Amino acid sequence: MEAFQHFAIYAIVTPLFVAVLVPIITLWKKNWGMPLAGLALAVSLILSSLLVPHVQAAGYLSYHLGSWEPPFGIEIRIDFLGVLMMVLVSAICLIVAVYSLRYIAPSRPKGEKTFFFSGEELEEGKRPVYYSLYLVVSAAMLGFVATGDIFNMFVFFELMAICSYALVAIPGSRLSIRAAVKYMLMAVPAAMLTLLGISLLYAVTGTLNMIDLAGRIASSGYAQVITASYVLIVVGFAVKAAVFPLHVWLPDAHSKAPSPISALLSGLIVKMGIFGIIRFSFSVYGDYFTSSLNWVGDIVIWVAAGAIIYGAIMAIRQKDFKIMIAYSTVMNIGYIMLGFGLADVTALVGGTYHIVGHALAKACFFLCAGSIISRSGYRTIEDLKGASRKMPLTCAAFALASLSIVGIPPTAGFVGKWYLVWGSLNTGNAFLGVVVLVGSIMAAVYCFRVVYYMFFLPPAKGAWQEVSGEAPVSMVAPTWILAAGALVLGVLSSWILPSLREAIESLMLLS
Amino acid sequence: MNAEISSIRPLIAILLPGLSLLGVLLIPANYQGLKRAVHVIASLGAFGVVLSLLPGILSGNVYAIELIPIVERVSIHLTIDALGYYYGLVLTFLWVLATIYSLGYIKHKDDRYYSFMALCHSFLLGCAFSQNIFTYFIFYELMTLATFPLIIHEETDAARRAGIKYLKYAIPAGAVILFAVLLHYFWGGGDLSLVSLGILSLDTASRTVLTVIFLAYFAGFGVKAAIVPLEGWVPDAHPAAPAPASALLSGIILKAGAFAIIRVVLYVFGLSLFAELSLWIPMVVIASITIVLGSVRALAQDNLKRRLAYSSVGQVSYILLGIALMSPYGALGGIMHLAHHALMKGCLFFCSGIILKKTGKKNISEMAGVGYRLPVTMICFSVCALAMMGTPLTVGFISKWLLGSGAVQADKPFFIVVLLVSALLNAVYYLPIIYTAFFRRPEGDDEYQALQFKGEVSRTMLWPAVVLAVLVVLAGVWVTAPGFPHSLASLVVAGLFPVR
Repeated sequence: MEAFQHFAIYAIVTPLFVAVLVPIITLWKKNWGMPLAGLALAVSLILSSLLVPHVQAAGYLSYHLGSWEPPFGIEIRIDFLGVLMMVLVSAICLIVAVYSLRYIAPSRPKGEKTFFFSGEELEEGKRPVYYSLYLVVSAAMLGFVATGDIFNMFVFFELMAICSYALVAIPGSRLSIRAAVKYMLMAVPAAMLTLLGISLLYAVTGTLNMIDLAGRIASSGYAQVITASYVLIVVGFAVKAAVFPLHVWLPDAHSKAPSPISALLSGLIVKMGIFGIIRFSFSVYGDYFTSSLNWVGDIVIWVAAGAIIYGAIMAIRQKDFKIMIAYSTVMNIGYIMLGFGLADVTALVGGTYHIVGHALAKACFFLCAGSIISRSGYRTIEDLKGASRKMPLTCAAFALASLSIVGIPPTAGFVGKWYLVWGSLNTGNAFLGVVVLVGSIMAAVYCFRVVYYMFFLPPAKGAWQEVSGEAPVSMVAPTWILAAGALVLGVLSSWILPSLREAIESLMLLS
Repeated sequence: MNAEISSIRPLIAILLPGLSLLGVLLIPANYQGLKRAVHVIASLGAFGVVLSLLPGILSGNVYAIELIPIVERVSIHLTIDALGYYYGLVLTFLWVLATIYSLGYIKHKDDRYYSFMALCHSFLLGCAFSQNIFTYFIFYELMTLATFPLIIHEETDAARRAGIKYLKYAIPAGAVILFAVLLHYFWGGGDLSLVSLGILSLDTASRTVLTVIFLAYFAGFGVKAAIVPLEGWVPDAHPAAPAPASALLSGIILKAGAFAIIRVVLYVFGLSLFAELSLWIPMVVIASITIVLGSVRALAQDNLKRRLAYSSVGQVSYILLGIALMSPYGALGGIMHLAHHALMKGCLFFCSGIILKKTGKKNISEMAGVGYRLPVTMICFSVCALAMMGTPLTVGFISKWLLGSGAVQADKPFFIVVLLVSALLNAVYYLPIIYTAFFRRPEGDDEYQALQFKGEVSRTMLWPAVVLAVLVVLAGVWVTAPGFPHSLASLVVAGLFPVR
């Protein structure tokens, strides 16, 4: 076994291991929380990036945990989609971790006399817990996208979910706890549904390994049980993915959480639900999905169209900046689900590419909102008038990212939408292509309104005068890296697209 | 002779205006003069690079460079053929003048203004040199957004409202165009080329689909080209924007829509398919209505820039009319009018800016006697206004003559009536301005006292207007000079209509 094959498991285990170390080490070295977390995530990022060429060459990478052969042992099985997600997850987690440093523990910038407290910072005692939970979430996401075993997948998924409830609630304010409880009230029953579905599947097939399952499902003879298990699993994931109309927890949780956590929630955690749906549909149910469950797609495309329009309308109606961004996520989840529902290679390429593009741009949105809250305490869109006078770099990053959210070429958001419309034409659903484009116009309304307020309107009387200036570099740089990433992945989409298409093709042909 | 040459010069021309961006970012604020010098040099540089290609273009060469693939089978690909070169030359030339003019005109937030000028310049050159509609769309959308800060530059309420209105028109238009591009991509076999003839055909797509594609393109680009009923933003945006920006709006940016429609009609569809689908009928009807309605609406305006804006609405449709006639002379006239109108309207907006700066007057009714205060300006204005009416020995006459010949050649003489009505209306709304400026005595003694000649405005603002006015006459007399519109437009038309 060559060395690189171990990379996958180290990429997952390193953050998990450091998560345990952080609370211990910070007993002596109070400020080591972020450096340790950053280091662990950087290791994950490097290891998962090193996997990319091997996965590209071989098509997939299979690793048997503890050398137990599947189906008895746990198999880690990474295809190109998986490794793409691993790189995305570790990169965004690393960037957001760096951002967290000054967000939860602000320091007084040089030459400033007054010191503004936004109420978003965490007490000293909570900071190690924050980084520890943060690392567990990151590790769980990495494990979730890498594993080839459905029960293992469920465990990682719940690990991620439980830590994310805690992270939403970590400020300890009444609103954030309420949001976290609302999130849990939706998500815990959803997890039960998924578990029930997996149990049913295990009962009729006797295996938990994905490859094994793919071979046994069609011949199991229990068609109704299989269908039921599919519906249970998908509904369970759909709640976590905030697929309209199961999104009701999302606007609260995303807007009340600390902004770096909002970025993680919107950028990555909800995408995990969708990744789960795609994984189960194509890698596990495979043939059975395309032959007997094709009615699912017909429902999903309408749900997705509903999500796009509903999310956009709600985003336009919001007054609170972060809630607006959260509804924009509801809308973009609709785009991704549309790619899945159309059951077409091109559309799914668009959907998966949109996962990447949206993750970068939306994380950037939340980080920008976070910088503004942390420096000024302003939370409503009205307050953003004239923001660029004091925080030009943050506002410019927001403007750049909003190009991607709207889908202006040549950004990553545009590439995703291009494939989605192409896919909807391919399958003869020109109407859905129109929905995608109308959604873009509506996104322009809510994004460019904010950009317009920031850059072209003077501040309201007395507003912004107390604000001393731009956020610190460790907060501005992450927002810019994300915004620039959304642009670069649009211009240089040919880095990823051919391999992604190949991966999606093999995923869908397998079925 | 028709060689396709791989060349990096299209890219250099597009990137050169970026220099002024760097200038804004890198040069400290107290070196304002140096910053402005960089802007002028960058725009001159872009013009120089484009000009250096002229001999090659005239001998039939095509310069191309393929950059990066974005999505499958579609890449950012630049090509300079005769038509693209022609538009690029017009725009870089007018941009140089507008940049110089801005030195005198813009006195507030100028870093932002020059940055977005430079961005618009780059993006428009990208449009002009696009090999495929995808590249075109990318540059076009970016240009659309980069225009917004220019429109609201004055930051008055009216300017803000005009800017928002502009976006309300432009962003849905962008989505409609994108839809058309996708349909085109899907039914055209993935070939989005703008420079090879007849990509779409009835073999691959049904009549309905092709009609929908055309109408979507026409409506989408029609927002920029200011066709009725999509012209609503034009009369608001022009008076709100600073004069050099309005000159570029009318002279160049409206043309980006018209240019795209020219490309779509002549190259993507090709004349035979266009005729077979009878698509010229809606186009010619809308163009005619726009020509007449634009002129009629112009009559009622007292605000000078608003009147000029409505005049642009009508004039841009000359281009569309010429193309839709589908005859060699019509196409020649339409394509030449693109440059002609840029020269005339550029000069008129420059003059309106000078009047505003020097006298503070926006409305025509207040301009009595302005001709005595600003003689050079108003002479330039009058020359261009006469050209607008189609007076012989000016470019306006050449356009109208060719368009008229085109209507006859296409056996659709009715459209000569449209041209004549428009010329008449042009006279009705331009002559009173000249009359007021030179022959009406202002009311009130103070106003009368103010009439003495106290010197013209600064040279940076005056000379661009004078250069344009001279060119309006020169290009109307020495029509076939190399590098003038005729030489390039006839090259385009010769490639489209093999037998003249």
